[in-house]
Amino acid sequence: MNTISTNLKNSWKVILLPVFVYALFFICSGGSFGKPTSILMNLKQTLAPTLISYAMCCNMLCDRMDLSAGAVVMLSAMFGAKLVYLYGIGLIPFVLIVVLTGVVLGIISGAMYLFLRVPAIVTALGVCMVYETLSNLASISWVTAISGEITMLGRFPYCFILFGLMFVLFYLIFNYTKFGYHVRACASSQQIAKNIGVNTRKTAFLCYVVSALFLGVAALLKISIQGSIDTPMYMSSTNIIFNCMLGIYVGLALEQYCNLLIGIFIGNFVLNMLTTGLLSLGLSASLQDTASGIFLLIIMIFTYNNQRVIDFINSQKKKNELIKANQ
Amino acid sequence: MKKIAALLLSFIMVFSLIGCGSSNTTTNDQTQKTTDTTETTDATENTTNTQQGQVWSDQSGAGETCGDENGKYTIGVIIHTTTDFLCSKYKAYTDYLGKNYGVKFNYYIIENFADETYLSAIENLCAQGVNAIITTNFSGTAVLQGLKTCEENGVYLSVGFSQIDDSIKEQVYASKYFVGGSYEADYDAGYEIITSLIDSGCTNIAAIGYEPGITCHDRRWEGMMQAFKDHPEVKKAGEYRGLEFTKAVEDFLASDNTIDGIAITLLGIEYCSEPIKSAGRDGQVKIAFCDLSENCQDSLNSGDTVCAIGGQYVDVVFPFVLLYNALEGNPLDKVEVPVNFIICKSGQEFSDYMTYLHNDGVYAWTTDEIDKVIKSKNSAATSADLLKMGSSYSIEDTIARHGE
Repeated sequence: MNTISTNLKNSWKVILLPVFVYALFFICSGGSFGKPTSILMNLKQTLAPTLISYAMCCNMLCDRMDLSAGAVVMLSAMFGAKLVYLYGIGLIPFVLIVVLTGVVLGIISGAMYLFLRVPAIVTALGVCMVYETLSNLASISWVTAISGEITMLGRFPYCFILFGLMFVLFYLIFNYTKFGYHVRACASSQQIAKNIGVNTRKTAFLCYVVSALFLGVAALLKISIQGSIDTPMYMSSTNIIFNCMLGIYVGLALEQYCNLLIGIFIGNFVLNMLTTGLLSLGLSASLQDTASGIFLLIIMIFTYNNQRVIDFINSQKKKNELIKANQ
Repeated sequence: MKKIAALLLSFIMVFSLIGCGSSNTTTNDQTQKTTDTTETTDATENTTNTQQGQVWSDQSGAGETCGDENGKYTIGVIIHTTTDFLCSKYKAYTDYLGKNYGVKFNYYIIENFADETYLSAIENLCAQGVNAIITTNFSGTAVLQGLKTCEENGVYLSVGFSQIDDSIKEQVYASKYFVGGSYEADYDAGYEIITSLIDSGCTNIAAIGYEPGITCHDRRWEGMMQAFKDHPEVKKAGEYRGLEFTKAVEDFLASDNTIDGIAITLLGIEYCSEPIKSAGRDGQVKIAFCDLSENCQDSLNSGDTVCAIGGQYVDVVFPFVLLYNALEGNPLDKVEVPVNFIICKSGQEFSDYMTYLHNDGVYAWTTDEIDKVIKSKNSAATSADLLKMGSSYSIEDTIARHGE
């Protein structure tokens, strides 16, 4: 009974965050923000970034920053789109090509990290630059676009079904497999994990493999929903992952109340609502970035410190009670 | 061992994507099968096929060259791509010009628009021994640095798609190696994009533009903003300037479901169509943009696109004429030629554009017409003739000169 009550309390706390953001913008925009179609659109926009967050999450927990993830997504999507443009391939070959390209590129990133033995961020930066250059070579123009039946997976309800499948898969991998336990052990401390017999190198490689699969599917969802993929330049592929990283941080902040995966999804959803909410208030793009950053900081400060604040208030109460009792 | 493994992985990485390379005729034939079979669309694709057949004629497939392989002059062209609708035609035009005037064009593809990228491209082309360079979208004070490199190497420079900034104009014009350039009426195009949407009944318009820094996009943006100022009755749903255009469209549509128009400074159909469909607003949101593409015909026919502006491939003629005259020892007066855009507001107008200006083998000016501004062929040629050509460029003008 106690567990059910705690779970309900935690669920309420988790739901409170998106509800708060929604209510805030709904009121501030005078009701123009937050129509059902807009929320559905926001949910759709959340799918691909959440998969990218899942892909990056294992590596990030183990202190490995995979900056090449965005480039993997863009290059895989662009490669598939280019083949549609050149050969008019069908949906199934398109799906297989995009996902497999993502898998291959992601595994190459992981293999580079393991073989070169240089910090993950350095390897990822190099790989990211190579992949961006390849994207440039593969691109047709500023943008590589597809349309028609080939984008079917981006439509309702297929995109949600695909996302649901990937969510369940990651949930099982992360929570119920030996690999998932090893990842969490490494996340706590690589050294301790090593001492208790976890093969950290193998776990690191598997992190990249799992990441590669999710990046491939994220690429598929992204191009299917958006219908186009931009040609990355000036390391613009990293823009994709910075937003997804913020989603992970929000997820980590919410982890005390819910499963990390749900937290990450909520985090990405809130970030998307933030963008559209700020737009509905008429903020320009540059101000949106600033406002998003500040808003996110407030959320993070509140989420990470609310227990401390509650503890502080409680301790003050106890102090006062003790003082009163002594008097 | 580690080095070998690293090298091996790098090779796998590069060669696994070898399929990303340039297209060829066979592949485009297959693309055709999947496309709608309206007459004009077919014509568009056939054009693209044949153009690419000509342009990508380099046997090795490695060299981005066209024109006369053994030409007496080599002109380097710095451009961001040669494969899209605009730039493939641009390249096809240089191929046509090069073969007729004995000029080889050596294309240098840049992957971004940073000043350093342009300067490095100019240095590399100079090192390759070109006689002249056309830089596209090159602007700002970096032009002076680029010009310095050209002066040191005795290479003529011309600028396309962009206007020299007023603050450095005097210094640039003082150089013997700067011959002039050309630019489009980008400000007017931006203005037209918004007014077209207003004329079609849009009252809540989202404005999207390329991130600041590229002169042509900056001017289009300024034109768009001026149109909003001049039409206070129309609501600006918001503005976005950056590189994530599709996401911007999605965000706008999610933030406000009364948006009924999207104005974008580049490739509107590619960036807007799927997000509009995805938002379930198909047919309710109209778009207007710069840069024509293969998809314009259907979109203009259906009324989803109310204004598509482009046809700027002809820009290359002006730098070419200015450079060719200079290389022949008969430089024209330095001039920056303003060139009209082609504005398509209906499927018929786009069809006419394709028929008279863009399809295979048709160009705005034939070599017979260009001969009139080449001093060695017409001693009376002046820069004023170029200005007249730029200002009269239109579908009607082309039909009048050599149509039918």
